[in-house]
Amino acid sequence: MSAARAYEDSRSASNLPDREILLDLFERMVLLRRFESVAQIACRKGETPGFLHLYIGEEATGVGVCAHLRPTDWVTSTHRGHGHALAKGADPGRVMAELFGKADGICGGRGGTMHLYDRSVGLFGTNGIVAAGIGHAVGIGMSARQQGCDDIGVAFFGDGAANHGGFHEALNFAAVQRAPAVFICENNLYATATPLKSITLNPEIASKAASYGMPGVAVDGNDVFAVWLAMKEATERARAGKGPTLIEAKTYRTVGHHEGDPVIGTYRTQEELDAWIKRDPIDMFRKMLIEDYGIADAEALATIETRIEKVVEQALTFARNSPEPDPSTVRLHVFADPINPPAALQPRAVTETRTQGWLEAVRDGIAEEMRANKTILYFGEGTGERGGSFAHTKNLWQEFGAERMVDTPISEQGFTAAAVGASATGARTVSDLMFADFAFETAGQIFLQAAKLRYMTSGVMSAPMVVRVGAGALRSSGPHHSGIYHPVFAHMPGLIVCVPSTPADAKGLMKTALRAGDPVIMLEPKALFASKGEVPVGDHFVPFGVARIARAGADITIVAAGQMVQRALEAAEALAAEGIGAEVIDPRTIMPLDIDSIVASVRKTHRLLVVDEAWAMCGLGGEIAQAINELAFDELDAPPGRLHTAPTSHPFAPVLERAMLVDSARIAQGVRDVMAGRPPVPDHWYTVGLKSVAPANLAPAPVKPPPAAPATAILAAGDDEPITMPFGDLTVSEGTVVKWLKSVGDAVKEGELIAEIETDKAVVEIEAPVSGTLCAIDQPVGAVVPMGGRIGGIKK
Amino acid sequence: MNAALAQARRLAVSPYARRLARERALPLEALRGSGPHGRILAADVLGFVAAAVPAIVPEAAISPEAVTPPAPVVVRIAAFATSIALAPLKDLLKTLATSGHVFDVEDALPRAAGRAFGQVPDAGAGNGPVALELAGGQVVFVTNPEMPMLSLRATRLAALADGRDDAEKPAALSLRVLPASDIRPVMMPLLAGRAMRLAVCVATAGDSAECLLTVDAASLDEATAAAWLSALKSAIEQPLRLFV
Repeated sequence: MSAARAYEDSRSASNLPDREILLDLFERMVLLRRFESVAQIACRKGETPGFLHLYIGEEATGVGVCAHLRPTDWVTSTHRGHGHALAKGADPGRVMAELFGKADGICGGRGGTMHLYDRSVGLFGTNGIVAAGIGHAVGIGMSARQQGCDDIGVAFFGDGAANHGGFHEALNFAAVQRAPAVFICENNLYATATPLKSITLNPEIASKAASYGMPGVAVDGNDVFAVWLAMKEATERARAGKGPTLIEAKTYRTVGHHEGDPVIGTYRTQEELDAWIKRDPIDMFRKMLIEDYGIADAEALATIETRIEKVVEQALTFARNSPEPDPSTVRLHVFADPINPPAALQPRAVTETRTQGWLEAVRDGIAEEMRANKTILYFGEGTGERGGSFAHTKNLWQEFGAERMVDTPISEQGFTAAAVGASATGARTVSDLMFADFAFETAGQIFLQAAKLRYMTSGVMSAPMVVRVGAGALRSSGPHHSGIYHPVFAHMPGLIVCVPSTPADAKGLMKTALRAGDPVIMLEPKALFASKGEVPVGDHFVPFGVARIARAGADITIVAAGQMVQRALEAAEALAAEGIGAEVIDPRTIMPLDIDSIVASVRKTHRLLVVDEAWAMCGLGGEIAQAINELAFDELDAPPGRLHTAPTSHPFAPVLERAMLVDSARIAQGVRDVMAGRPPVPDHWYTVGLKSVAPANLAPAPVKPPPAAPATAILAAGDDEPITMPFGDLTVSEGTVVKWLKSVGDAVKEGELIAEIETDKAVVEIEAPVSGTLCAIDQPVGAVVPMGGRIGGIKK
Repeated sequence: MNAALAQARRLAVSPYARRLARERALPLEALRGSGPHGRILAADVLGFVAAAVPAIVPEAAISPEAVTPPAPVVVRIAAFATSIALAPLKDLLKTLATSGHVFDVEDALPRAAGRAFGQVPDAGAGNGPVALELAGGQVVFVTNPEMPMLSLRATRLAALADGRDDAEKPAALSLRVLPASDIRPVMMPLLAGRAMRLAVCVATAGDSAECLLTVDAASLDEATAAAWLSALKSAIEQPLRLFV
């Protein structure tokens, strides 16, 4: 029977696709195999720097999956990702050059084997971090959907990743969002060297899809046609908006974990390897094409293999001949150049301002940007219909809907990964993590993925997302809700770090962030949420890296950001009475840091005190002081000083918390000390034996009485029971009386509703504290009452 | 030298004070530090009192009730230095001598100082007369309108001969020409009633002069003093203009 005749027979009897498609699957697998065989030899010769993780033996999975994808679909990949890159259509010569660390590599030599990205073919990247790319694919799909197209995100990952939190968070989020995504688990039985069955009691990974309410399919990952069929259905589902699918492709790498890792002996046996080699995907498919489908004969397939041999030879020659990257370019592609978006650099005259609360001002800024840019998606926990834990997204859900104001599960890693994926593929995202402390739940996505994306790709890709968090100490928020951590973020090249101190700056920086080209960490001090200030009406952008002189002075420069600015200004006022003129510089962004403005101020004052809410160790005080040593040493008339929050976790008890934080009295004393040439002596090194840490050596913290609720002082005559505005949310400081349900003289019962007070977040119902007669209404409707303040009284 | 000795001799100076002293050619050893452990601060440099200065303090400035010893009146001074090429001036004087017109460097300097006051009017009080310090006293020249060069020289020589002293006459500047030497002063006290003092030290080789300008920082700001010295240098280095 001729090959053509056999093909026609099989076509009529099965669901076989076109001959060209089948031959293309074969050709792609041969390309992957030949490419990596050549790369393996180059690695052994020492031509490729770094590690090399080969995909040999698993080619059917990558090829079968990618055959359904367009260049505008994206795949995210793993450390074992050369095959995915080639299957998705990346140029073999440029991929090989990247493995060689050459200038013509697809990432210009900055990425390398585990960080291959190619925007032109939809390769989101091989990835050195297990499970990191799964969530990217979710965001990629949501980004495409928001941009009105049916492109999809596809994540490749291994069996090891299936036990990682990133897998759980991403799949759950994708399912609930019906994200246009497909998850491909390449189960090669070993997480590096650890057998899958030894690290989970349910090694059937496809079955885990049920936990998320999505279809899970297991296929023979060495059978390219089986993979092709499973992916066909999953792709159609995703494009049709029916949601994601999990495909488990059971396969095996017939090489070691990485080049140099023994193929057998330590964790695998010769028998196991031999059994899988018998099921080699290329050999199996060759046999199928010739014998089962009758599509081609051995000679035709050999012709394909010869052609691919040449392609790979050319790729190797191309890589070898490509020049090394120019060392003088090493500093390029950390941030967009310029780092500020055009809107932030346009001069604008402020013609009109109005008094606004912090949260309202930032909400306005976000709403303005969301109206101007339909691709902005806002991911957060309770930031949708509920309006946010701090009422910081109030009314945005009502205006922009659930598709854009996305209420997420408590999966910081999952939705921040999605934010990275979406922002890198045409959308813009806000990942609202509620508290700065929670950023560490997704530190990998922020530090290892978002921050590095521009650099790894030599500037071809970036993640213009905003990580928004409430930050810093506020009234006993305690050890897990009080941190600010800006030095930690600023340490990482590629992250822009904002710590605003006024409602106007908070709004202006947020608007700039939503137009920037890089990931922005927006640390909004919770202590300032209840603050008010003048905010420019109309478009208002604050550029990154431009400090604000909060107060001019001639004798000493105080650098302070966030809630420390107000403390510094209070100290400066007190010092003015002593004849000391303090200049307060608010850097506004920690990265980029406007060191020029600080130097200019020190040139004028010749003295410096850095006041910072974060901790001292490797912190802002040391950073700025050393910068002054380097840039303006001859200007210093006294050693620079620094005041930081004490090097402890944030204690709960108010008296302990006050002892830990820097207040205006400490700043004033710090200034006096620097003026006297003796800066405050820090003690954050915990050096054993250097000094005693006995409490006797510590300066006693000024114990302040708790702030008295002002209204309680206005006691009505007699000994009535006060009715008060209850202490409630930490970020609310006052409320407006909107209704009295009882009049003076009315009898009231304990627990009965007697008044309503509206705060920025909600309407608070005021109940009668005791039964009796309402004898006084101290605060009429419309009055603004501080928390804890008295509004009336009841006589028993 | 042992370490303890090295430690003891080390001066503590704030970087800014060190810079200010360097700019003013003040030796740090002459300064007293008011900071921790005797650290010399900017204020110590800016408030430095030259040893001779109390001599110019008017009697009335010392209160009769003052406790003993009387509190020193602080005069803040600044000093500026420059090197001036003398070859063009000497060549010109030689040429003039061949035609019978004999002048010395001492005749050209008061003229150049007058020209500097003309260019930097902020530096000179009123018309900015210049006092030339002689061995026995000072002789004051009117610089605006300028005295003819010949009468300027005649006045100088006459004063030298009869021991005349114009110390009580007003003048913005006193000018002292030091004998040729390779040793030159880095500080010169101001003379009574003179807000500026210029010491000109001709190098042994005779082709250049080191100039030290000391000024009362209270009556003259630093930028003006520097501009004045620059104008003087320019006038001497292009000497033809002094004689026209």
